[in-house]
Amino acid sequence: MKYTFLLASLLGFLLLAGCSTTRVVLVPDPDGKVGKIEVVTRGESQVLDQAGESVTVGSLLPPAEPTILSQEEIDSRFGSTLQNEPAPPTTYILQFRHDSTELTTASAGELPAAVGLINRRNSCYIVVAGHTDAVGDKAYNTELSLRRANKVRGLLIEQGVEARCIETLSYGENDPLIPTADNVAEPRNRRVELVVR
Amino acid sequence: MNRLIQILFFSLMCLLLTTPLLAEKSAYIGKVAKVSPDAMILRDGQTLVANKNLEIFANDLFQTGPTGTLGIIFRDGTILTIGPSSEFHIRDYVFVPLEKKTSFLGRMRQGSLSYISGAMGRMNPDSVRIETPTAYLGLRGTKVLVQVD
Repeated sequence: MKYTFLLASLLGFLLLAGCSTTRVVLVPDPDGKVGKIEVVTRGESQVLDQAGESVTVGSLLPPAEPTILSQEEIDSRFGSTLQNEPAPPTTYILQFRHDSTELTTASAGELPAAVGLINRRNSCYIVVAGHTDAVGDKAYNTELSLRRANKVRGLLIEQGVEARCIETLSYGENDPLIPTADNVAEPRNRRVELVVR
Repeated sequence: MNRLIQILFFSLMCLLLTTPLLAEKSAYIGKVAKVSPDAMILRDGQTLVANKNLEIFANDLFQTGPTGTLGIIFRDGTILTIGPSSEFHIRDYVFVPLEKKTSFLGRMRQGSLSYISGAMGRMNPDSVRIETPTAYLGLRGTKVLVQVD
């Protein structure tokens, strides 16, 4: 008699868990790069690392061998999700003159395109991250990179972008685009990275 | 005069002690970038309609109806799209790039999703994990689709 409850519980668990299936598919990213997934089921692990590679995991049977899904199968299963992905963030790299918050002529010319994209996407998730090269001391460069970021922020606001939609970061000389030794002048590192999401 | 200094000191201490808490609370982890109705966000017992540019917080639960989709861009640039008839719980999200502290933990209860990794995936690939009712997924980049029936 006392086993009836146990049996009922077990059956209930099997029914509930038995209904659930997980399918995982690895696909190329927007740049064509293929990453890797580790799928762990009840202590057993499988690795997917091929484009289109897929595995299905139910609750009762051991996981099946991975298979490669065709584009048609991927589209039929994930079409409405894939069609509604947000556009990937766009990054503009704006360069500055040496020890200055003045944009180079070429970079100043890129701003209208950035503002156009912000308006088209109706974006309220904009990041301006200031950077410097390795000339001068670190504290000074952190402050200079903040001034650069604020300069771009001001220019965007002048063009009608809402202030509350812009996040400002300053990296100083800590995150160079082109790594150099200390005190090396590198124009490509004197920059603001403007990310439009 | 001493009294005044005391009061000022205590006020300052209170301010210093509470400021980090306030900062913690207001730190959103991403924003809604694209949405088709109906899509909802459950937070602190409230149900919010997911509008474009709505801020997202850790512990939010995303829910979509049969015609709904919800695309989110996170702080680190991770792009997560929830398909129709889906339920996804963002259980943990940490992104402190200067200290290399990162974590992404989600639970996919049903439906489908697309995940495209951001800076976190490049910096610390082991920190991105999704649980489903039958599996535990370690996402080492860069684009992954998951469907739970």
